[in-house]
Amino acid sequence: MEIILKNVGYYYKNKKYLEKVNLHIKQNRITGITGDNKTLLAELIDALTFASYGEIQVGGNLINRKNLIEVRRNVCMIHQKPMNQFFTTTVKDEMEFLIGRLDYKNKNIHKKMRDSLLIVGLNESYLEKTIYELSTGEQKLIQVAISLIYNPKVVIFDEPFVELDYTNKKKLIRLIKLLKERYHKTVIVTSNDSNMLYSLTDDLVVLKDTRVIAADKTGKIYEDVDFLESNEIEIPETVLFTYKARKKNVKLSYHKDIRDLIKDVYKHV
Amino acid sequence: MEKALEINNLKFSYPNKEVFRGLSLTIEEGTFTTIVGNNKSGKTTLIKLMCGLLDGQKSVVAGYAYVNNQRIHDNSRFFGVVFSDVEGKFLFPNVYKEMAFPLENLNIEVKKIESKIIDIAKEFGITEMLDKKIEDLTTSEKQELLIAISLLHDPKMLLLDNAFSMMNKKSKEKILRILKNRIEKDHLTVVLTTMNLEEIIDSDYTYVLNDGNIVMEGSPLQILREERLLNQVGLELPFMADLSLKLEFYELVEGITMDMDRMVNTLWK
Repeated sequence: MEIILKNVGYYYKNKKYLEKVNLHIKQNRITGITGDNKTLLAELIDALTFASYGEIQVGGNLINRKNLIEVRRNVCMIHQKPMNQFFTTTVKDEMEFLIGRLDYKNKNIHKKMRDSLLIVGLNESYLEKTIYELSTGEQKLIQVAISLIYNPKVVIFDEPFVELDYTNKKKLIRLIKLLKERYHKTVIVTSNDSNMLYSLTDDLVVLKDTRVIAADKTGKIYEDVDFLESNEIEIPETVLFTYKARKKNVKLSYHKDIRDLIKDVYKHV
Repeated sequence: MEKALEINNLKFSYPNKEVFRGLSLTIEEGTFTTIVGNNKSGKTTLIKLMCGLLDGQKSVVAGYAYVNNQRIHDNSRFFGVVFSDVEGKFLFPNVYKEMAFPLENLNIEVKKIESKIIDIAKEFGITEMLDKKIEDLTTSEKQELLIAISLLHDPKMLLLDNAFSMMNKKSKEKILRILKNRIEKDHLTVVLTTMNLEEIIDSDYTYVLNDGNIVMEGSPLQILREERLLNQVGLELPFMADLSLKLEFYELVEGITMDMDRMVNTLWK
């Protein structure tokens, strides 16, 4: 499901937060959003907040206050602090609560609940667990599992890797890739971690102050070191290494994976 | 060197979960110690036990102040504590009042308070921030401010619980410089917990915590060499350490270099 933003702006109490945003977020790709006010942009797509002007289309449907249920079914957002998103105490209650809210009907709902847990790599026993005994990483996985029940076409992750350790990070990365490759979802990831965005995303949107200053393939943006430096964007470390080597006339290529980089270094020494 | 904090055979459990089953560690005065571990390894609980927010059954001894609810009023001046979450940590709408509040509580003269705040603001380079409202600060700035506030009453020991988690690189470097300066000048003792191995590099000594036990301790560079064990406990090697170790395997470099320029220069002279 593709998302189109036409001349979107947002202001609050006379302060501008977003101005003249025109974007085309493509179907079945992982799109990263980085820079200022990225969470706001994600919230506009999720219809948590409404734009002050301009229009947002999700899969051809214009977002307005009347079709909120429709939008909620299509778009799901995993917040930075998953705790804020839970209403009830156990995972099962939480799933049933959401199913009720979205008026979702399915005969095999209990099987579906179990299946969605398996997809995110957790087993059935988690249904009976209380939210409080889960770690932050598990809470995020549970949120994804809950959203998978009603099969949204767009999944937004807001700062997914903050406060996650290596093991949970790896799990979540695998899951994000799975969502795109096997379930053909449109995935949006907001983050300031350029290393992560460089290796994970297909497309990238860069925001600065209130405007979009770049929207292109991730590689194209992150390999343009001069652009990154002039806009004070963190350079991915693999890119910076290649850049420094190239300055010494070594013909190193840009690599997303450190192992590929090392092979290349080995060739050129 | 004198011990600033000593933990002997610490045992602690929450109502339904055992966290520490006999932990011992010492932190020397005027050093920068890091405690690194994954989600749920017990880092936050340890910090809370150290500063007396939780009662650890008389097994923590800090400087001259006993941390078992006996001489707690001494403790609050001995420690500065900052936790990772910035939400709900502020009581006042603007920065200056927020900074003045802890000093007012200590019954310090208004004039002294003013000069103290201005001094700290200069030290942290946040003089412009003083007139601002808290809600207008970015998360990174809020974390900076919390650290500045925690140093206002000149504590002997600063406990940072993952307090750099949402800071950008520049701020992190700045804060580290300030802390190092204070360690040298005032003999401040700093303890930082983190799950980001990049943050241990500047410290004097590192403990690796996993599931309530110390699984490894030593200088940061010693720790970074144990890639297998670190991955086992859910920690990710920083890019430069990873690169160094892999290139060392091919006998291209020697030892861990965290400075990218130096690495490029040794590879291609």
